[in-house]
Amino acid sequence: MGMGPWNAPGPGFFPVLIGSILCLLAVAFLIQSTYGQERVPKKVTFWKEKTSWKKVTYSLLALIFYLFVLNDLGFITTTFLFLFFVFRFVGKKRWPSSFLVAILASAITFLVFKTALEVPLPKGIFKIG
Amino acid sequence: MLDSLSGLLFGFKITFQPENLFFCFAGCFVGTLIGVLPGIGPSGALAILLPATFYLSPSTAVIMLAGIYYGAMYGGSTTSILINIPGEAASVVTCLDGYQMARQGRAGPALGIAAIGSFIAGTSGVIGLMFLAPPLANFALKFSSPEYAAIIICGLILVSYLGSGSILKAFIMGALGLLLGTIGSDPIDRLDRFTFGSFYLLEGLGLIPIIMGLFGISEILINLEEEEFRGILQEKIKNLFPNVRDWIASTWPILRGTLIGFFVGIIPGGNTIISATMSYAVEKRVSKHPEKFGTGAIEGVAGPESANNSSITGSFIPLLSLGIPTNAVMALLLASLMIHGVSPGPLLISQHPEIFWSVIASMYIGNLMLLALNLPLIGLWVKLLKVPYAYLFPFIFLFCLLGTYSLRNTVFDIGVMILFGLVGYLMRKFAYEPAPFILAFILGPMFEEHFRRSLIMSYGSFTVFFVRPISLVFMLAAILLLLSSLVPWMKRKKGAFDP
Amino acid sequence: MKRFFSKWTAVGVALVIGATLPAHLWGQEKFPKETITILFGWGTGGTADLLLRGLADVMQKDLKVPVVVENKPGGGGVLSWGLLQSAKADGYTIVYVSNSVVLETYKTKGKIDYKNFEPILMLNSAPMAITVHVESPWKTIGEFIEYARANPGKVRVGNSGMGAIFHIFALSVEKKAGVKFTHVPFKAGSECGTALLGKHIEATAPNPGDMSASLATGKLRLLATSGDKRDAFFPDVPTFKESGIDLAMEIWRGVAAPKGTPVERISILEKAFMRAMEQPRSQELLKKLMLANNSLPTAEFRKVYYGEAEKAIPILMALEK
Repeated sequence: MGMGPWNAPGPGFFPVLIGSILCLLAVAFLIQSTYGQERVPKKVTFWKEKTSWKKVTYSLLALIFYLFVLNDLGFITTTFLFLFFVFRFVGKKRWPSSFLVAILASAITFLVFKTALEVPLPKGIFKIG
Repeated sequence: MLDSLSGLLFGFKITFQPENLFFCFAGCFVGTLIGVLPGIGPSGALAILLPATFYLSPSTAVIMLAGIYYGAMYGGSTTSILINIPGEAASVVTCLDGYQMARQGRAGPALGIAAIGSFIAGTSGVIGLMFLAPPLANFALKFSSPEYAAIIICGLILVSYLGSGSILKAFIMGALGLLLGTIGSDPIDRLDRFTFGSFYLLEGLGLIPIIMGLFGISEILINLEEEEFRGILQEKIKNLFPNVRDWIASTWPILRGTLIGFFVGIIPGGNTIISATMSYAVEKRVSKHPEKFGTGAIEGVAGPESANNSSITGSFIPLLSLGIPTNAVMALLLASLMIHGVSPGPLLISQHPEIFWSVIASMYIGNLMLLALNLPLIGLWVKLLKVPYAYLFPFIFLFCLLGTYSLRNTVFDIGVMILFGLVGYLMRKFAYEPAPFILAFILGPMFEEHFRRSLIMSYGSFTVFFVRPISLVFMLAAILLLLSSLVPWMKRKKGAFDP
Repeated sequence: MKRFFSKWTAVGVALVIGATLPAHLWGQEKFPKETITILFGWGTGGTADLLLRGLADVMQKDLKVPVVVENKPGGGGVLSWGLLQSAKADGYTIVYVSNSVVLETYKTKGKIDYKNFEPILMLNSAPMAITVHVESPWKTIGEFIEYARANPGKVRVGNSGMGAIFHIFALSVEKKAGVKFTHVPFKAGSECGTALLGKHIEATAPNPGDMSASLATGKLRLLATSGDKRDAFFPDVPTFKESGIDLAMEIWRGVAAPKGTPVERISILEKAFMRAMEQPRSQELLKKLMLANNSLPTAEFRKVYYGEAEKAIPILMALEK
């Protein structure tokens, strides 16, 4: 990955340059936080509330689930499961309403994207959009 | 002049086609919705809706996207005034005085002036665009890589102004953005960098998945932390209209705001937030009663709201005539234009006059539509605020997922989005700004491309940036900007030594 | 009460999953019976992309299944070819190919290999050209070469990417005419045109079609084209051969399927494409994009396709110092 002569920089030039800048900045940052004149920030808790981490983590898990399962289960199934999970466990809605909304939403979105916008959606092993 | 007017008539003819009118309205409507709903701002919304425009014609797509953009501006002021929550970033400034006015029972005049000021600014901006863009396009042929490189340097320096927190943190975010921008095949030799053998990374990390993750997903995650989210609105809005005194007080702020916003919008790195902030600062400076600012001075609403609307039209100029996006939203519009096979640039006006003029005509119409939407329909918007977040956010997730997937039909991009959702979430926790990161990410590769190509074109001579008149101007501007950003820092240092 | 709901919901969820059972149990294996995807390795808006989209539109109505073009920009086509190499060889996924696929075979050291594809048909071939600004002092390719010889490295020739076919073309001109250019890479042929219009470079190498926008301004002049015969769109422009330089190269564009795709399906696709090309709409599109109507069916295309390797790779190897 050549860096090239000064007046004809190669592909390696910029990454190296930026990387060095970043290192310098990191050092500056360290210095500033250790010796800096900034007043000590007041104690701020990491999470806003005690149970916050649950919703955030569940949401992230749901998103990751979607990512891995989409191609295998197909759009409608994955979306349905995702919405159901998020409504029920993150949004804390009751089983029936979560179920209903999840189905309706998956179906409607599928129809809209497939027919109105003609966007190709993964089919998965169930062979339904 | 005549040319422009005939072009405009041409544009109106196209815009008045039912399809375009519909999508113009749809864009404005959706945009206002997004502006009103805190959470996803215009760039996030554009990113999400971009894939939905693939199947429209280019002019229609741009009309709709532009409508969303300034619709969001109009809408953002509503929640800022009513419940002190900015619908999107630039409306933060509106909160300062707008909310105070609402507390004093003057929400009506505040909303009214915001809408009307936005309309005046938006329309004036379009006029400016109309007359300045064609001559600029001819002039634009003189621009080549050296000029672009110089402009982008200015942009990169301005980016460091963006951080409202620590300048150092902004720089770090900028540097990270630059670094991640190098992923992919390098712009000149087309050799792969940091792709780890993945075909998907050949064009680099996708901009849209990153934006959706950084702004969209992370916003939801942050909001999810609160047990009960979104206060309910209590008051009913009385008299929507400003009285005579309000009008008189607002005239100059609106005019000033329009000008400030327009010209800030043209500059790379200039965006609605800067315009609004600058306008507020200016109004405070020139006002005869600056102490009133922050307690409900209508000037503090009129100026910034006008500024953020005209800056939108201003930022269209570099995009439409030079093909250079000056901020993240414009970059998305650029992407959408290219997806539709339109390369904005000096040739856009001559080759695709239908796109250029119809977009301009639609801006006039859009501004009118927005005025009509915002004034009477405030009641409706406010009801939307009452929809519990718990119903809303899963759908926002879904749209993010769908939108990202449909870009390249691959889950790889979804993965990038989720990753950056997490990153964005952590960034907010530790008070790092996403804006410098995104802009550096976009501008970095552009700079590298133009810089290296300039050197090739100049046979290896660095003087090329200073010998050509246009790029010289921008290089000087860049140096000035750099120096002026160091001044406060130096002042502080001096201050530290004073007894 | 809660237990009751959970149980029924579980049943409900199971039912939904079950309801999305294989639909392929019904219906037979007629080809094509579902969406055909044409992968295209660049962003949209270029000549080839527009041509494919036009054809896809026509083919949709003909084959009665959706035919979509999916843009997979990456590495100058590499992403799309990589994806096709791992796609199922069932005829539902095909890809756009051009000379570049052969060039990339060499550059990626076989990670992409043109031999992994079955050519379906050639859509079009076109010569490349050296183009200069109308106000430049060279009226013939001869004058241009003379100047270049006297000023090695001074003439800046734009191309659409280092290592891509237009760069190779410019390198071949250098070799055959004994001159040295400075090669300026851009991201697309259209950018070359714009730069040339602004007089920031002396000449460009891409084919006229990619620069149609700039050509339309009338401010550009072609000096010579690289085909065996004169380009039909530019009958006044001599070929390199006529001008005394022994050079004949063309860029060709076609579609291909993964290796192993059943021959009948390839034939069905080939005929569908040919029918689409003959439609008046497509003919008009070809004219608009300045593409000659010289498509080749499978058999002939295979000769061109596999023959490219012998022509191009030695040039690549020789020119890598």
